[in-house]
Amino acid sequence: MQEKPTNIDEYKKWLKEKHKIEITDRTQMRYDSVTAKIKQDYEKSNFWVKMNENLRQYDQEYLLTTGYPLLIPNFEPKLYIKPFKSFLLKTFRKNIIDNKRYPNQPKGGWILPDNWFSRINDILRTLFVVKYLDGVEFMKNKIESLCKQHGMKFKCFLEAREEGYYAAHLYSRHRCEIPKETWDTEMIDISVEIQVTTQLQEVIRALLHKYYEERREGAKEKGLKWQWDYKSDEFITNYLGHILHYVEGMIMEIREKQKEKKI
Amino acid sequence: MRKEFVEYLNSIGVTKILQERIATIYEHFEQICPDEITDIFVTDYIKQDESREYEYLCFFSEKYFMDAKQFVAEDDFSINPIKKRLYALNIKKKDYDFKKATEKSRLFLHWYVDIGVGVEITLKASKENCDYLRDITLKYVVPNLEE
Repeated sequence: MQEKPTNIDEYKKWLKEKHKIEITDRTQMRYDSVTAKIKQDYEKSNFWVKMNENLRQYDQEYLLTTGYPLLIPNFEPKLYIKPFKSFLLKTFRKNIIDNKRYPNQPKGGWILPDNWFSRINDILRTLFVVKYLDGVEFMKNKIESLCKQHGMKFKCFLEAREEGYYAAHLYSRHRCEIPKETWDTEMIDISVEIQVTTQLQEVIRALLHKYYEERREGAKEKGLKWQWDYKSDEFITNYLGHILHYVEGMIMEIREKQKEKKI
Repeated sequence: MRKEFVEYLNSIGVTKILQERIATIYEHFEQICPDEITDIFVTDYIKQDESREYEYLCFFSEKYFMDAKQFVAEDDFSINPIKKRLYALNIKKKDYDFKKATEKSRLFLHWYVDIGVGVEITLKASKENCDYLRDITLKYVVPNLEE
């Protein structure tokens, strides 16, 4: 029996042997071509145009309610395409590392080139950065409302991970026309990830991004739990995430107390 | 930009605005390509509403192949030598006799460039653009296949 792949090179070999799929420049070229088309269509969508138009209005509404700005000055959301390397890594995690049924297919089936644009939910993502903790839920509610207005299917989560990661994640579904490898096109449903986080969390996310990417490339090592391994990078970075979240909660409390005093 | 390049772009329906963008990319390649740039090609496909979508912009010289991927929105440029370095040419076609393209014609080309590692190149064309891709194939790809 074939051994379980433990890194990306073994995963590529597994794809070739088990599914007759070879990951080459051609795979990446098609990925680049399809994702560029998805981004282009999304940028032109009524939902995205309206979202950008509404941002100042949301900011003013929050300001009137709380006395503080919602967004960082001159904030404009940008759309990011997941790099092919990260995308392939994610399929590795879903097919192998996080697949509790391995060697059988994960729930929903194997994630392979004929379905992977629909199955990976953050090929295209955007990030809204708010100044205060309560701005996360405020912004999340606004995005949900806009999704409903545009008749879009969506799912929303307030993420609070053991690893000290805090943000709102909203996944909206879009119908997209993408180029086939040879000619013409096909219609598929894709998910776009909308993240909402605070300015402080964003600072730490930017610092830790490279570290998380490296960690995700390999299967999890069994051994001392990170919570006890005080010399590890994980210990410092993950607890920094939790501490920041706590500090942001404290800032909110101070802000609310000040408001009560004024009343 | 050369007059025949503009004529080609007009013939496949590239708008004036997009032609301006192509002209700036052409100037960029003119600066870096050691040879004179002798041909242009734009890959395209037809959407379900029958409109045309452009993907890659390519230029050719006697010794080099240049491309700008997703050139409408991105600045992602490559240049590769082609002189006797191409191999494994794969051609797929639909409703095309390699003579005169029709509205239904589609052409797809894939080959490797040997530069120590194999770099893959994919070009696709639809409708009248198939005739241009055929000419490119016969002028630059077939003569440069490794023996």
